[in-house]
Amino acid sequence: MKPDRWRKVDELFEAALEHEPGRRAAFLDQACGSDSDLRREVEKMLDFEKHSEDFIKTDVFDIAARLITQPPVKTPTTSDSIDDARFIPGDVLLERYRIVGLLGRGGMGEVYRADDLKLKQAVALKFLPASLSADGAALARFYKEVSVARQISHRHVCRVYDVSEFQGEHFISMEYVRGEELSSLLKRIGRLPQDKAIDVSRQLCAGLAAVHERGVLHRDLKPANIMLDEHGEVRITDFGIAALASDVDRREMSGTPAYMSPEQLEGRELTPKSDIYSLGLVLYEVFTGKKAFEASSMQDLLRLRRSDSTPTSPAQYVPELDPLIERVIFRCLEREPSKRPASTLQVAAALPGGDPLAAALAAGETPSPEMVAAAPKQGGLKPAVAVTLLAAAVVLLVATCLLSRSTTLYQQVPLNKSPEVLKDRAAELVKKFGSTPTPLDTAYGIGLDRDYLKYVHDSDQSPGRWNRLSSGQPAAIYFWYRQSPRPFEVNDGGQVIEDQPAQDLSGMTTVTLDTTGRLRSLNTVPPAKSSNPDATTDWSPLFVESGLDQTKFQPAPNIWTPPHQTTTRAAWDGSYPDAPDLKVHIEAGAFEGKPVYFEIFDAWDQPRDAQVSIVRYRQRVLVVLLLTVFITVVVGSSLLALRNVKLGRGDRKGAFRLAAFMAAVFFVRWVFWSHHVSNEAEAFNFIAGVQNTLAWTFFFWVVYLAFEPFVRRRWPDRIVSWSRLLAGGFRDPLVGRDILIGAVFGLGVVICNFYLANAVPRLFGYPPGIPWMDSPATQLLGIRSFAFGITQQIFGALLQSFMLLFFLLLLFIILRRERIAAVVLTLIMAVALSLTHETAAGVPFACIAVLLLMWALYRYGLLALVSTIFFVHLTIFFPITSDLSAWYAADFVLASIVCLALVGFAFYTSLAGQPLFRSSIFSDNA
Amino acid sequence: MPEMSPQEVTQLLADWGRGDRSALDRLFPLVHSELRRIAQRQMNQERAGHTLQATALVNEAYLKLVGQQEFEWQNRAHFFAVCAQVMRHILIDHARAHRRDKRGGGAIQVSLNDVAVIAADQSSTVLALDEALRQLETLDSQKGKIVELRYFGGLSIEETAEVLSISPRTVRREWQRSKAWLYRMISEGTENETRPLAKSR
Repeated sequence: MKPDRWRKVDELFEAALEHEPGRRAAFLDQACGSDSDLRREVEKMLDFEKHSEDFIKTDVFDIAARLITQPPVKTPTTSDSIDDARFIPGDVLLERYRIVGLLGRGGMGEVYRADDLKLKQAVALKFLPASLSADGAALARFYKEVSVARQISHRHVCRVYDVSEFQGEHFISMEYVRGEELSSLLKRIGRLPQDKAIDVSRQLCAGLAAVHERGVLHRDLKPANIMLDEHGEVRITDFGIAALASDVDRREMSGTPAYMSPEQLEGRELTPKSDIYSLGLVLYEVFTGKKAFEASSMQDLLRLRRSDSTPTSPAQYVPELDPLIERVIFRCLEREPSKRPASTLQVAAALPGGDPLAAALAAGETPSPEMVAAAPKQGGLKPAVAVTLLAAAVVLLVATCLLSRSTTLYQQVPLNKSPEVLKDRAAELVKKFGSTPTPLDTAYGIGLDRDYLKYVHDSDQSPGRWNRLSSGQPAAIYFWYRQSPRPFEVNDGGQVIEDQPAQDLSGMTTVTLDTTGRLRSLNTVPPAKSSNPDATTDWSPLFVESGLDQTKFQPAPNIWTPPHQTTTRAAWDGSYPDAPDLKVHIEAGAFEGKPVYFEIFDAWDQPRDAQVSIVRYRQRVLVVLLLTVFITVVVGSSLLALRNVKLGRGDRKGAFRLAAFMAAVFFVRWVFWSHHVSNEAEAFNFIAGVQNTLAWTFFFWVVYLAFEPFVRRRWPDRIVSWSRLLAGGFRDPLVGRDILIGAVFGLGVVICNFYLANAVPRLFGYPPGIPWMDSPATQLLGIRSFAFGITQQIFGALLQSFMLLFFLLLLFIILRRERIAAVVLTLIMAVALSLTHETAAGVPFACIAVLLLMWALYRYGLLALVSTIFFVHLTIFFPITSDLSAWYAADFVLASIVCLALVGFAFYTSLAGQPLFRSSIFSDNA
Repeated sequence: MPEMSPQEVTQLLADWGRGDRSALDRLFPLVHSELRRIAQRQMNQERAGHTLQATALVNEAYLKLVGQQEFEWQNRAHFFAVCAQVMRHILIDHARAHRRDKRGGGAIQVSLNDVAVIAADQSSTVLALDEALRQLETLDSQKGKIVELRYFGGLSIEETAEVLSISPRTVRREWQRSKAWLYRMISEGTENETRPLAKSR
C-alpha cells in the first residue's frame, strides 16, 4: 500500500470507529462513494480491529526483564554474558547440535540451548567444568551416573539424553524445558498459594521418587534446580550431576549450603533421606516464601547450618498454613535421617487432602508400586473390632475342630499305626514271603480307595453307613510300600508313587496294608531265572497276614490275571470277618513256591484299564475348565508381561521378590517332598527339582509382571496391603488387618463348604455325605508332609488368589462394570464349587463360601484373599484330632501353632500400637 | 563503562530530544546496563513477594542515572523513550537468537481467529511484531512511537500521552488502530520475510 493511500484508509478507519458499529456501513457508503477498493480496505481494518482486542497482551516487560537478567552472571565483574560465551548462536557442535543461545551459567559451566539436528528437537547442553573433564576417575563415575540418569523417564523429571565430548570438553545433552525456575518464581511472587504449593510439592515428590527408584540421588535439590514448564508442571533437573561435579572441585561449591542436609554438610554418606531433607527445605520455601536457613554471608550461613538451630515455624510466616504441612516439613527436616519419612511418596501421602493414588488415577496415570504401598491407608483396626475378629477366628478354629470329627475321613478310619510302623510291617512281610536281598531303595505312602466310599454311598442309605469304616477292612485309607533292588526312577514330580515307576524289575515288590497293618495286596516281580521249578506253595500265611479266616473261603476259579509271571495260581471266594455282607474274591499266585501275588477284590473293583475311563462327567467339566483357565493364564500373561516390560510398566522389583520367595518355597518343597536316592541319579533328581522350581518361579514372575500393572492401574486400593507386604512391611497395620480378616473368612469358608455342607443335611434326615479328605498322602506322613503341606498351601493360596483377581479383571474389562464383573465371577465360582458337592443340599453352603471369598477380594483386596485361601488350606490339609497322643497329632499341633501365631501376629499388628484398654481405667487419677 | 554524572546524562537526554542521534548511542549502553543491574538485583532480592514493574524499574533507573534534583519532565519522557528502545533491542536480540530456523522461509502464521498464538511462540511473535512495527513506523511514526512505548516500555496510556505530549484520547485512538494495523501486517505476512536469522558476531 502506498503511504498516501494508507493514510487515507487510516483516516477513514479512524472516522468509522467514531461511529456506532451499526451505522458504519451507512457512513462508508457516503465516505467512499464509488471507490469500492477503499471501502473494502477500511472494512477489513474494522474487522481486524474487532479481533485485535486481546492482541499484544503478552507481558512483554516480564520477558524483557528476565532476558535482561539472563544469564545469571558468575561474578559481578563479568559484563555482557552473551559476548563472552564460548559458542555463539549458529555454531554447530559435533555436526549435531546447533547452538541457539546461552541459557545460563550454573555452578558447573555454561548451559546452552541448542537444536539437535539429528533428532530435530530442542535440547539443553550443559558443559562440565574443565576440572572434571581432566579427572579420569571422576569422569568414569560421572558417565556411570549419566547412564543411570538417562533411564529415568518421568513427567516431572527433566530427561537426560547423552554425554558427548567436544574439543576436550564434556557436555550433557538434556531435555530443553521452556519455563521458569522455581527459585525465580518464588523471588517474583513469594510463596505459592497453598493449593498450588501442594500441587507442586506432590509433583516434586513423584519426580524425586522416580529418581530414587532408579537408585539415583539428586544430591543438590534446590529451587534453582526445579523448573516449572510452560504448563506449570514441575521438572526436576540436574539430579546427581551437579553435585557430582562439585565433588570433584571443592573450591567451586556448586550448591549452596542453604539446601544441604546435615549429613551432606558433614561430608558423610548420602542416602535418599538426604534428598528428603533438601525436599523439606524446598517445601518450606514453597509454602512460606522464605528460606528456612538464611544468612547474609556464606560464612554466617555455614555457621548457622552447623549449629543446632531449627528453622522458624512456617506457621509464623503463614498463620493459615495447614498444620499437616508444617508437620510434614519438620519431619523431613529431622537431623537424624532415620526419623525422616521413608520415601518421598510418604511425604506426598502425608500432605493434606493427599491421596496420591486417587490423584494419579484421576490424572489417568498408573501409580507406581511404591506409590501404591505408600497410599495413606491407615488400616489400624479399632481395638474392639480387632478383639472381635480375634475371638471369631479362635471360635471358628475350635468349631472347625469339633465339626471335623464326624465329617472327615481320617477321623473315621483307625489310624493307630504310624506310617513308620506300617512300613516296618510291610518290609517284614516282604521278607517273609520272598527271599529278596536287602532292598536298595524303598518308598511308601498312603492311598485312598474312593471307589469303596462311592460304593457305600450308593448302596447304603442308613444314617450310620460310615460306621463300618472304623473296622479298617476293607480299607478306605490304605498304606502302600514299595521296595526295589535298584534306586527308583522318580516321576516328573520328583516322586515315587504307588504305580510309578512301573513294577518292571525282578525283585521289585509292592505291598499294600490297611491302616491296622493287615495285608491287602502283594505284588512281586519274580526272578528272571528259574531255579526251583518243583516247589509247592503254602497259601495259608497270606490269609493269616491279611486277617482273613481261610476256612470261610471256598476255592474259586481264577478271574483276574496276575501282573507278572506265576507258576502256581489259586483263587477263593468269601467275605470279611467284620463285614459278612461284603463279598470278596481273592486271587493269589506263586513263583516256584514263593507267593508273588495276592490281591483282595471287592465288589466295586474294576479292571484298571476300565477304571481310567470312569471319570465322572462333573469332574471332567471341572478338569476341562481348570485346564482352559491355566493355559489361558500362561499364554496370555507371557504376552502381556513382555509388553509391560517393554513399556516399563511392570513392577519388576515386586515380581522379582515374589519370584524369589516362590523359588524358596518350591525348593523347600522339593527337599522335603521329593524322593531322594543315594546314587548318581540324585544329581538328575536335583536338576529336575531345580527345573521344576524355576518353571514355577518363572510362572509367578510372568503372571505378576503381566497383570499386576492392570490391577495397579484400575484398583490400586486392592493391592495396597499386598504391595506393602511385598516391600517388606510385615509390621504394617493394614497387612495385619487383611491377614486377620482373611483368617476369619477362611475359617468361615472351611466351615461352610466342608463341614456344614456335610453336617447340616444330616439334621434333615439325609444320609451323611462321604467323609471328606483331600489327599491322605500329603496329610499323614509326618514332618515330611507337613513341610510339603505348608509350601503347597502358600503356593495354592497365591495361585488361586491371582487367578481370581485375574478373572475379576478380565470380566471387568469385558463387562466394563466392576460390580457386574464381581457378580458374574461369584456366580461362575458358585456353580463350579457346587459341582463338587454330591447333593443339592451342599449348594447353599458352597454359595456362602464363594460369597466370603469374593467379599474378601472385592472389599479388602488381594492380601485378604490370599490369607483367606491360605487359612482354608491350612485347616483342611492338616489332620485335626483331639487325641494329642495320636502319631499324627504333631502335624495338627504344628498347623494350629502356625494358624494361631499368624492370627495373633495379625491381631497385634492391626492394632498399630493402640492400647487394648484405655489407660484411664488403670490410672489412679482418672 | 565510563561513569557519567547525572548532569551529563541529563545533557545527553536533552541533546537526543533535540534530535542528536549520537546522544542515543552514548545513552543506550548506559541505560541498558543500569536496567539490567536493577532488574537483576530485584530478581535476586532476598525478600520475596516482589513483582517487577516496568515503570518502577524505569523510574529507579532514571533516579540512578539522572538524579532526584534534576527531575525534569522533559528529560523523564526522553528517558522513558530510551528505555523502551532498550527493551525492544533486548527483546529482538534475544528473540533472534532463540528463533529456530526450521520454519521454512520464515513465514509467520498468525491465524485471524487465534490471537493466542502470541503466547505460544514468543520469539517468533516478538520478531514478527518488530517487523510489522518497522513497517508501521515508515507509514506513521507517531503510531510507531506509541506502540514502542506501550509494548516495549510497558507504559500506560496516560504515561505514553505524557511522554509524547499528546492527549490520552489520541493515544487511545491511535493505539486502537495501531493494534489493528499490526495485527493485519502480521497476519498477512511482512514483506521482508526471508531475512537471515541471527547474524553471527
